Amino acid sequence: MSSEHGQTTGEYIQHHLTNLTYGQHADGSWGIAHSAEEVKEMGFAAINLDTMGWSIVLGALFIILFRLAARKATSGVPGGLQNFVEYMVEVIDNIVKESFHGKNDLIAPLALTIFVWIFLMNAMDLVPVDFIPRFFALFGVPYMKVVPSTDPNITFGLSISVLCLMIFYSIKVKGFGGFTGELLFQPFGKNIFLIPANLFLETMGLVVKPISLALRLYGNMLAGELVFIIIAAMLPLWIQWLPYFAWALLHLLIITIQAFVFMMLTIVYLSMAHESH
Amino acid sequence: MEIEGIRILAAAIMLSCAGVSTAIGFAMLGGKFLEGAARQPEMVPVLQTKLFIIAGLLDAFSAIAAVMGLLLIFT
Amino acid sequence: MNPNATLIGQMIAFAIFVAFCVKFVWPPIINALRERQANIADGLAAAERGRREHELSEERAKEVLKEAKVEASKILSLAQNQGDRLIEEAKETAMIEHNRIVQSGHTEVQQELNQAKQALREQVASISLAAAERILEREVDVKAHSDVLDDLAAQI
Repeated sequence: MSSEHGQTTGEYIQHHLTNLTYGQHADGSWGIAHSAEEVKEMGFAAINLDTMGWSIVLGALFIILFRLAARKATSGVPGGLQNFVEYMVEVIDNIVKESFHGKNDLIAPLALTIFVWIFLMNAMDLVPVDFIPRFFALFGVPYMKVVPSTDPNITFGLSISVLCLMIFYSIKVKGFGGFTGELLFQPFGKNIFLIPANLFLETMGLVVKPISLALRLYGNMLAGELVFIIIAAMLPLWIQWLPYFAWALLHLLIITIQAFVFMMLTIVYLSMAHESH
Repeated sequence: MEIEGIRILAAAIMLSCAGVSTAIGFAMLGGKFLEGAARQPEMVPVLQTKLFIIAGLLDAFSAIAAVMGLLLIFT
Repeated sequence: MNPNATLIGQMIAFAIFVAFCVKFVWPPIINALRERQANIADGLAAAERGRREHELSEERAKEVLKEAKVEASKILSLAQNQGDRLIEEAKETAMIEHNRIVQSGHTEVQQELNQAKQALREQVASISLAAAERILEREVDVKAHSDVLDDLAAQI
């Protein structure tokens, strides 16, 4: 593969791991970055067109599919798509009922969105690594990273949203005083001298949750994607299908589990935010 | 040793540690799961869900380590 | 890892999708599900009720059948008893009648015998009287010796 492009294996992999970033160049003009250095120069005021785009496309796909089923939803005999959608909804509803002990109508649809959306984003991994980038290359697009969950921006975007929800519901349920009280006086108890230790530990606990959430998804997906890319880069074309399918089978399990774990932990964290000690 | 060699060595250590840790983790997880399933077969569906969740959690850190290692080698 | 505005974009997209899901996707599906669940539960309950009723009526039918059988056998044995008793009674009355007839026959025979004896006695008396008359035609006055003759007749 790599020889066709006149790239080394390292360059090939690097190429596949580079985002299509749009932002302000060092010279002040706006445009697409053509190298990692240019991306660095753009700083925060830039956007990864590819992962962002795919994530929105997949989210929209989820919404449209489920909205179609929802519009036709009746208590009569369900058809194919409706069956599938209802099965998902039922499973997630049961999980939420089991794991979430507060009373909140937002949690179940939130969990559904997270699970299906992340699953779809992960499932982009299974598309052979060169198909979509090559297709876009025909239109002169230099980079295309198709799996949104291999972009830490995406996973952190999700997990920070979850963190915001956690803080929001903590304050909503326990009041601002209750929330700060928990920060200041847990876990060691109400003592003025223990406040720094308590604050440190609780803040750490609060911050580590979204970080581990995001890194777990990112790491797993990048590892899977990397294995696909290495298969594509190192092996001759005629034998690629064999390791590809072997890994795809295992990876199918991993992407489902990772989407499930992300959803599960979101539910658990939000449930914790609803409980007062 | 030159810098390239050190990099490969570091990546190798990371990958092997990730591999060994996942292997140990999954061995313990699977073993305990089978023990539990043998002791209380009616608990299998409940245990299986939790098994997959823990497998996902367990997999994460070694996967991150593996990614770092692979990135060290190839980029 | 280059943190950039994608982070913010993803958060906004996330918020929008979740909001849409909460508003337009989740409620119709979950409502339809609940409704169907209620329907199915109702149907199942009805089926269960029907089944129980069926079982109950079957039970009742069996009971009735059993009762009828018992009744029938009771009636049968009663009839048997009655028949036996009737036969027995008939036999008894027949025996009594038989005895009575035999008895009356006996008495009749006895009576006739007595009558015959009486008649015979009278005849013997009259014959012997006649004989005696003839023998004693001249010497004996019937009137004077009638008491002796009567006595004799009674002794025969």
